[in-house]
Amino acid sequence: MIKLEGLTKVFKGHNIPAVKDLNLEVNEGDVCVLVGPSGCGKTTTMKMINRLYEPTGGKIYIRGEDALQMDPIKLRLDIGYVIQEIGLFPHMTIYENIATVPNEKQWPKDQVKEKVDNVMSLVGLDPEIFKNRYPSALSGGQRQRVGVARAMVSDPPIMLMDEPFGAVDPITRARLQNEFLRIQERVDKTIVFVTHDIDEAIKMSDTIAVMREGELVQHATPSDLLSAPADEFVSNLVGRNRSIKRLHLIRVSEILEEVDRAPALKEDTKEEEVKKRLDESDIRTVIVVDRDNKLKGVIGVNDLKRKTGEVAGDYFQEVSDTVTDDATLNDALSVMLEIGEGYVAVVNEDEKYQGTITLGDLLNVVREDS
Amino acid sequence: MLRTLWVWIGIPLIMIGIAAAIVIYSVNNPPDSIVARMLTYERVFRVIREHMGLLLVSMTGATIVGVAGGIMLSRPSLYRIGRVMETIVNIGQTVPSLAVLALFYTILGLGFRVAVFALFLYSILPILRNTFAGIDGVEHSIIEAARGMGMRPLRILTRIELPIAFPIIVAGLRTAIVINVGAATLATFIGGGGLGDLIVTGLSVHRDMIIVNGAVIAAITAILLDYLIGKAEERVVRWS
Amino acid sequence: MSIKRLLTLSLVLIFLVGSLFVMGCEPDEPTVTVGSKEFTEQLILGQIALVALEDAGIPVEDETNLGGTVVAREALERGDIGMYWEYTGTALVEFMGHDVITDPEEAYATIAEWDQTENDLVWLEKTPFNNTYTVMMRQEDAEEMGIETISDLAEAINEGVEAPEPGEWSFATDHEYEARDDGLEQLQVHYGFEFESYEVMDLGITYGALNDGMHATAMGFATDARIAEFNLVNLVDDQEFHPVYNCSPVVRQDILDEFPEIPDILNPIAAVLTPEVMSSLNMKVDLEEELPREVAEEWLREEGFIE
Repeated sequence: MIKLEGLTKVFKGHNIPAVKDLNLEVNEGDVCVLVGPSGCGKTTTMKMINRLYEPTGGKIYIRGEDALQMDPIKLRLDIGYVIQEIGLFPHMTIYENIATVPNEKQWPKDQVKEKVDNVMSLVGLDPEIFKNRYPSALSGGQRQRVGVARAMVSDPPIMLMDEPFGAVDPITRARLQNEFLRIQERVDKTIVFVTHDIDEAIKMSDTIAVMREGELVQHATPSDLLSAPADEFVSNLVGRNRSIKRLHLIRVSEILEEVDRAPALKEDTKEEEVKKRLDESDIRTVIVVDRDNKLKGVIGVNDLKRKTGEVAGDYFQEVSDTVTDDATLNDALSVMLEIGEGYVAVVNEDEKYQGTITLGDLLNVVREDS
Repeated sequence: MLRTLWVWIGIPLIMIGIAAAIVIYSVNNPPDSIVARMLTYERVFRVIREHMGLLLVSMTGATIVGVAGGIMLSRPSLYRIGRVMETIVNIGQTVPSLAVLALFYTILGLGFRVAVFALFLYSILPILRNTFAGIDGVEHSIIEAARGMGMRPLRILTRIELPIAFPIIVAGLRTAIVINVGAATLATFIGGGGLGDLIVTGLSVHRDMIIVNGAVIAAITAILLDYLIGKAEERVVRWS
Repeated sequence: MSIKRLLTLSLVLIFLVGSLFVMGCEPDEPTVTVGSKEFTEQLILGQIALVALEDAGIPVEDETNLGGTVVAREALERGDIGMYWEYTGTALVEFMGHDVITDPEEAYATIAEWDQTENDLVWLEKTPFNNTYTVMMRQEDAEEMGIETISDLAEAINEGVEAPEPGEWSFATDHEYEARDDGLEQLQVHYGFEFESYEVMDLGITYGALNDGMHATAMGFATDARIAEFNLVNLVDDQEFHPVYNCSPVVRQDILDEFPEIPDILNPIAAVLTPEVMSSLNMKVDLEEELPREVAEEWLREEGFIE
């Protein structure tokens, strides 16, 4: 889909090339993450793909076509572009912001409206609520979603993303990453993604291209990168705790199928049944859900002792945090550490209870791998 | 609806009414022959007309040249010159308007056109500076996002840079108008007419009533124009 | 006697002795102290009087550049100065409270008589120049068209004579002249004509506007330096419309008693101070930046009043 051949960029007034003889191929539907320390040439490489920077030497092929021979404006209209600062237009509503590229392409009005509504729903922004707001009225996470929506609205086959989640807090970032992966599963774009955060790289990528001082050091799948770093630079970048990094690679939903844990209790469960289930539980805790299978809370051994009613619904404790089934095991670990428990409840998008995973489950995964 | 009517018709009418009341009273109750000679409806309307003429012609020219110049200087190829110009303009602004008028009198002579030209040059400065600063102040990431999405430079200018700079450009326009209304009262020194006729005549013959008429009309003109532009801007700019 | 009292006494003594010395410096013999107001013409006139009197052997003292009209007049009445040059029109209206008079002789006679009887002040011979409002033309136009008086101008305009540059009988005026009761409107009524147009501007630039051909005629003050500089000509106010402001040395009677020769010295000088002379003297100070004293000496020598 994207092929870079001997790509070189020397900036005016500099002796050392910012990017040197870079060869890289990104397959259709893949997320290729360019990673490396700042100044390694990853952003420069990305900006040459949509020709915000003109290469000094080398070739860029997009679907086999020479991108350097194309009209840069046309080229850019078909490449989604997201940057860390987002660059929303403050004087335009969210609708107008997202409609930028369709309007540049002069799509008919009703088609633009349909596409904008669709893409807003896709990134989790209710069009009715947000359409007519201005960027200044949005939170950081919401703006980032608008940035992604704006890049995706005309359904470009290729997207370039320059640290798109760099400017938000870690919790929001994790959520945005998960959402993005879920969307990507559906839309299957070819994406070049730039980050300096190796954890993000491992989590988001199909392939990782490690760069240093303008050169490509290693291009491999995250799994291969973790198990066989090409040199000391890469292994330093990946770090010593490679096993834990693997937790980035696996989704909660993947291991939920393997762990076979007893179903949750309904609110009307009697004391004896609760007691029995507590004894059987490996985490000495049972989950309580309502009739629609929505998570209500948990009951521990102590809660039962101090019970204030006859049925489970009377004395459960609320849980302070959960993970979604599309989160990675690393996210699950973070939440466990955060709430100080050896387990975490998993819910789906609609907050329906999906199961529970424990610290033990994570240990098993790491053990199996190494 | 009622509020709109009040904002656009009510308040302006009140301001005009105050000025009109002062003029009507003065014209009908002149304390002596000098005031009677200098304050007639015909004369007051004439100086108002002349003043608006000075204002309209010089501001129209200054807005066109100032905005166009500010845009040109903000283009990458002229940007360095733009930064230098910004400094020069700031210094130019400290030259008193009377000095500008005197300078153009010695170069071009006297009359309405010379006064218009001096006012025009004097009013360009805040408009040019604010246009340049407004465009220069647009965040780089916004421009990069626009370029990255495939907008052409001209589209970026008209759809992104100018709208974002708009409130700052309008602020420059308002500054220019207020300065211009004041400076236009000096046109009378070089035969340019306008409300300054009343003010300077009143001063030279020690008749406060003539001064008050000229000064009040000038002040209300400045306040009213500033007010109306401010309100119009509020309607147009809803995003900040 | 305590030290303190001794000290006080000696201080008082020092003060008294010092005062005696200062008083001793005051000349015993009578002196003519010449004052003036603060503008160029007044400074030159003051110096002319000083130089001429000194040349005649009269002891003088220079107190020119006192300030405005009121300051100079009060100094004269108190005896702080012995004389200064005053304008008939100014004195009539401001000191005597009389109405404006447009006949030079009548104005002079009225104020001179009143000051003599009421204030023991003597008005010596008045100057031919009359520093009042004037209607001006460019000299070459006036000569070519044979216009010497405002009546000539009125006649030319009424007869439809073709106007000089800018091709229209236009008039440059300042704000005050436009507004005054004895200004532009009544001038035209008095002489029975009407300018085709007029333009109001700062007094300082009417002369230039006329000189540059932007107007055919202009108003100004009759002895302004720029009249000489630009070769402009004052049209004679033949029907005596404007109030008159001829200038005279006004001298205290007690000084005249001491120096009876003063009128013989100053009268012939005043008699030759025409508007053209005064304008050119003003020009030397205003535009050529000579000192009033130098200008006065130079002119008196040229005219043969001093050696």
